[in-house]
Amino acid sequence: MSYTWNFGEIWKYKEVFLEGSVITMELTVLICFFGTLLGLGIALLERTNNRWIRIPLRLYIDVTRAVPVLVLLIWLYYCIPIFTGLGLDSFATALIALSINMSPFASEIIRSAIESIPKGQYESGQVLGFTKLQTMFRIILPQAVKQMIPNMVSLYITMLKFTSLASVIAVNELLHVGNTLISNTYRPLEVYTTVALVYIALVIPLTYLSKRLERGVSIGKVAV
Amino acid sequence: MKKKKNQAKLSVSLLGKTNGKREEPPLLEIKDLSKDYSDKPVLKDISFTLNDNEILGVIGPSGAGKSTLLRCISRLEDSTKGNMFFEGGEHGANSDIGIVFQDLQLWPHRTVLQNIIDTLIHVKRYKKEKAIDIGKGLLRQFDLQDKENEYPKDLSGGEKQRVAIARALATNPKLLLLDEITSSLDPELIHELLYYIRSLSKQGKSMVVVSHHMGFIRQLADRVIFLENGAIIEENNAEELFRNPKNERTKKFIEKNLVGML
Ligand SMILES: Nc1ncnc2c1ncn2[C@@H]1O[C@H](COP(=O)(O)OP(=O)(O)O)[C@@H](O)[C@H]1O
Ligand SMILES: [Mg+2]
Repeated sequence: MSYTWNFGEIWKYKEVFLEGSVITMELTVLICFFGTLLGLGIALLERTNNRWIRIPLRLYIDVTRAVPVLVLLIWLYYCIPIFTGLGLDSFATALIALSINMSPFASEIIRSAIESIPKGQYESGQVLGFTKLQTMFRIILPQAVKQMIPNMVSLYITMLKFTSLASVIAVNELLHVGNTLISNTYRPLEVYTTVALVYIALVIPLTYLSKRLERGVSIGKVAV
Repeated sequence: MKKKKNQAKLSVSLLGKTNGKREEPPLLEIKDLSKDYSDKPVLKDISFTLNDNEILGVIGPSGAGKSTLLRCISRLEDSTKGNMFFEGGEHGANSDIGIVFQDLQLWPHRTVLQNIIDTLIHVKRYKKEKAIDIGKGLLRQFDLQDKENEYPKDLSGGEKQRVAIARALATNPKLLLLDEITSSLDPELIHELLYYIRSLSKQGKSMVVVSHHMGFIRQLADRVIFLENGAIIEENNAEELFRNPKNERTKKFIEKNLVGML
């Protein structure tokens, strides 16, 4: 077992890795944005008593939680063009698949944060004439956001790692960039090591941020 | 025939307060109000009226239904039975009634000034400058000028109380409901609060005040209701009720709570 590591060969491609990282980050940010938005929508719609909303919503949650994210990704990749006639590019497909996959988890976090706000806070809005929507967006959610930050950041980190799945439909993110480089360099060990190191470099700061936020929130120091 | 007409006239003039003018309805009139929580009666046939610029004290043991009564008046709860009239009309949720909860429920993510003016901006749709004007006026009235930009968590207990009252007063309601706002305060702060609430009364506010501090109620209220098990046991003007309670249970309750006398 004497393998001669040659990272010099990889260093030549540093710009390619950088581009891959940028795509990974872009994809992550967009997924987190739309996934959170969807999650918020679900969390709010779940509060209605209308069963024409509740039943389809329940179905959506159960289905999206049951389908493995990789299967959803590949299924959408092949099916969207057939069903809609739309030729979506792979980046958009990955964005849709991963946002959908994230949404029930996000809604769960948002729901429990909303539920942690005492009933009296709703009443304080009600007696002053705030509408239900105003009470939610002006009184409840701003406080709930503070509660949900640590769990949300963890979910965002998970989604960052999940973006590597998009390589199977040829999104030019970090892992896919690595895969293509192997055919140029014939150095899979160096390439995958580098890919792993870049993920570590992206994730670890976020993990510490999340830990800090968690501590900050519990002693009430983070003003959001 | 003629006689009958005269009689009718007489009764009208007896009822009417002022010469020839139409009789003003009381600010708040409650008739046979009952409230059940899943078949458990909490309020039983409560009736009383509250006039303009009057302070009504409500006393009674814990669980008597005092908070429920205030919640029904503020329309946070629907009554099971009975009628409520506000200025003679059937009343719905409106900004003519302000309520301060025992646990205040200030908004922790908003500054003192924002707590007060948010209602003006988002419910009343006032221009921001106008809302700030009103808000600062209230801050001055409650000696909170220098707390304008603080968050509730940085205030003392007495200051929080005053912010909560100022928030309830922002829309200038005619009637203010105060639920046990003295419960977390030491005697000195209760005295202070008494001063602020009296100044409101001088401005013509009507109030329903629930407190287990007998001294607070005695010094503040014009009339007092003693509530027990959801029913009014005794109602009288404040001095009379405290000095000379007619009902044995009222007497017992007041004696037991003499500690609360200032
Ligand atoms: N939401 C509720 N559901 C069921 N019972 C309630 C509810 N709120 C109050 N009660 C009951 O109603 C009674 C009166 O409560 P409350 O009005 O809070 O009394 P007080 O303010 O005089 O202490 C109590 O027995 C209480 O347990
Ligand atoms: Mg109470």
